[in-house]
Amino acid sequence: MATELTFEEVYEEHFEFVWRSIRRLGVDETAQDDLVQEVFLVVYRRLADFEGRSSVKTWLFGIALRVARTHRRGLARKGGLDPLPPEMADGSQRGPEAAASRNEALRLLDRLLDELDEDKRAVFVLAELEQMTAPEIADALGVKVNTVYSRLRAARTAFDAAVKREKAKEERLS
Amino acid sequence: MTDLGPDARALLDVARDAHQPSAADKARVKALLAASIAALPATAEAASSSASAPAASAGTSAATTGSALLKIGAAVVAAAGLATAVYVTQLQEPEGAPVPAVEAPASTAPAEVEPAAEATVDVSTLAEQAQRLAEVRVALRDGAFADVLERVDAYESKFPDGMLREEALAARALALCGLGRGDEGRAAREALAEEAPHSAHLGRIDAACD
Repeated sequence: MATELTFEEVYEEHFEFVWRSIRRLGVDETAQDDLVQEVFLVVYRRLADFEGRSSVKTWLFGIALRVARTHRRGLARKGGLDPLPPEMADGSQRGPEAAASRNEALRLLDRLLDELDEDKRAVFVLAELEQMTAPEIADALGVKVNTVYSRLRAARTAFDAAVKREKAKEERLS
Repeated sequence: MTDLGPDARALLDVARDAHQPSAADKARVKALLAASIAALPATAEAASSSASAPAASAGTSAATTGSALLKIGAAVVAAAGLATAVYVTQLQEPEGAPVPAVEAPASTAPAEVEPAAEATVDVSTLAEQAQRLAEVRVALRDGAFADVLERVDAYESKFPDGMLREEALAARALALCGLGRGDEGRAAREALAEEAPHSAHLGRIDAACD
């Protein structure tokens, strides 16, 4: 049974999620438009085949993950990443100090996420930032729930250690 | 289950509502996506065939799923008169994609295609604007900052009120800072902030111009 959803509905309801996900999977801002488009072009071609056994959101994340992975591999083959620091969120709607502090925090987060391998990063982003449940994440990534738990455990341990390391570094410098 | 410490939690709390797109981001990608969809081979083929062909497959066809976007996209192609000039994202399937690709049935799209006059965006130049900005992004990514400036100048000269002006202004600021012309970069940043005070690019420019 194919889905009754229209492409337009998927775009309108899930654009924000796809946009965030692509960014949180480590794609820099210069490529974000292109990759979000790419995700939705895959959706356009495959929506008729989407049977609704998983949620649209988890299906979209699976596509975003593969698109981001292909992009990163392409960059790696070219021998480099974007020469500019990654764009960090919309701090412009806050006061300058708050924005600077927030942007600094987000830069740190991106750096720490980059330290996780791709599998752990995906689980960590979905669990901690998108606040999905383990079964939903398993669905999105096509892995068993136990695998989600083990990756999340490892990702949390690594992330927590990295945050403590950064804090210690800051304290030494201050 | 391992839990996170308070510092890690605090960092995630800050990040949870970050990386949100603006309405302009959503509209821009939608317009570009529409152009890409309109340039798909199946759609182009469909546009030249019967306008009354029924949906050929069970379930939801690509023609109905993409109908609203196709209205704009088809108009982009018609008005630009040059489908090959439309900025088209490469339609390579992601590696390891588990589901076989389903092509849009060629006979299903035309019923939804509307004349160019029904488009609500500046379709006559959108394709060219998108193409130019795509080239700017590539130059920026490659660190070819002088090239970025030339391309932005050319874009602004041709489209002084272009719909991708915000991106062009941001690229100018980033390129100037990339060239070590920090004062000019910050001035360009201010020009962007005046026109688009909530632009998501401002944070990135601040980081690049530090």
